[in-house]
Amino acid sequence: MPIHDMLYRCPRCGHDALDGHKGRVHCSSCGTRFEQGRGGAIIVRPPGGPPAESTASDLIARVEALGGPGVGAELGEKGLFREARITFGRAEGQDVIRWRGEVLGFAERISWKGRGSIRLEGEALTFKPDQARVPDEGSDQGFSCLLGDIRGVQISSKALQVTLDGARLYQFEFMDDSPKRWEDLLCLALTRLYSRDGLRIVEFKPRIVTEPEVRTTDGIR
Amino acid sequence: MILYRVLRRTMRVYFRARLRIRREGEENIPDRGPFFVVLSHQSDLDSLLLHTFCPRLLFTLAKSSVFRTRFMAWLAPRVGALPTRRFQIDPQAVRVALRLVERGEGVGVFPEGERSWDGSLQPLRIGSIRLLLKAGVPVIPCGLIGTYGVLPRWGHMNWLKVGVRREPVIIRYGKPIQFGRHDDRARRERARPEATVRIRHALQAVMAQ
Repeated sequence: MPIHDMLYRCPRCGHDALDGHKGRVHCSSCGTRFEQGRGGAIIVRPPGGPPAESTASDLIARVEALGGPGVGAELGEKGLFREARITFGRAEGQDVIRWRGEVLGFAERISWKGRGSIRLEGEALTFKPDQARVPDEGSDQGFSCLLGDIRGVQISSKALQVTLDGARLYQFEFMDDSPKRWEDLLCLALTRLYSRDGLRIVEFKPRIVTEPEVRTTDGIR
Repeated sequence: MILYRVLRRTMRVYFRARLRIRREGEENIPDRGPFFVVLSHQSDLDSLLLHTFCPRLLFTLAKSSVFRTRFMAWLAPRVGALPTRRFQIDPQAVRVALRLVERGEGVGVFPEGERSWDGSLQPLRIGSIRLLLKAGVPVIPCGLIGTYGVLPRWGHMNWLKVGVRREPVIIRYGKPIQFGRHDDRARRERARPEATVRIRHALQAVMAQ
């Protein structure tokens, strides 16, 4: 996964979306470059300044501090908002994996359907294919669901997987956005949603597991 | 497992040319009998290195998407990979892992369930801990130190750079942890929080530089 999927916001100025590929990214707003260094370090090259070595954990913390996955002003009381172009697929059946005549397990069969868009708005997640088929063909009609209908969220390679009620698995590959941002965004939205009901999410994958929040004098635990 | 053995030998030659490998604590892997190896997932190299250098042949739980192409669905089981569906609870993966340890095999588990973005140890998955408690066989913590530096989740690696300035990688096995067998679900759930803490501490210890 390229570095700009992790650094989806400039850790230096907070500018949303960096340009780059593989081990290098560049902020078009402040001009800072970030590139993979030795030993898992990230070299930060500010314009006109000396390069400095940083770590992924420091830069991820900076991204969080500067707004995280949300979009500035839209990260308000009405909830989160973001839209992205995607190619989408859906798990349709499973392949049986055998070895020496024994069933070892199953691998989901993802059928790639085409392009579309995905939108998170408040508590609704909407996925819309560019060309919706006739209603009885079913599987690639898109969906609009409430966050409460989501059963699991995770990244698989470059794609984001969302599981809905009934073990329906959708897979989205983003054309111009970061899957990690979308994972962070959905996890943040789900955390807020469940927190309102006094629940804390313990796991987001393979399915959402919650436990009651413990309210202490110094905050929520 | 002929293909596994052949590839293991080939990969040993390659990895020794590409990385400066040091192995520690191999005496903790039993010569015979069942065991689990648990390790923190830092890099795509982890399972390759574990399968290549572990003193015993291993089976490791791998994400089911690895098996999606025809070639990988054929190859992966022959080199000890077991498919696990990550978008739902996968009872078949648990059954197969338990069957293998009952037969006296070693099984590798990444209890975090996915690679770390920043090299830190992530929360351990509930299902992984339940599996370890249910089996009741020795659990050996393993630290692969340096793989994050070579190939982090967000980065890339030059696979052809061999011989010069090889990055050091330490493969370290810790002392086996014995949880005992927890067949009863209620007992397993009671033991889970403490087992999680013990495994977490053991992983932190073997990953310390």
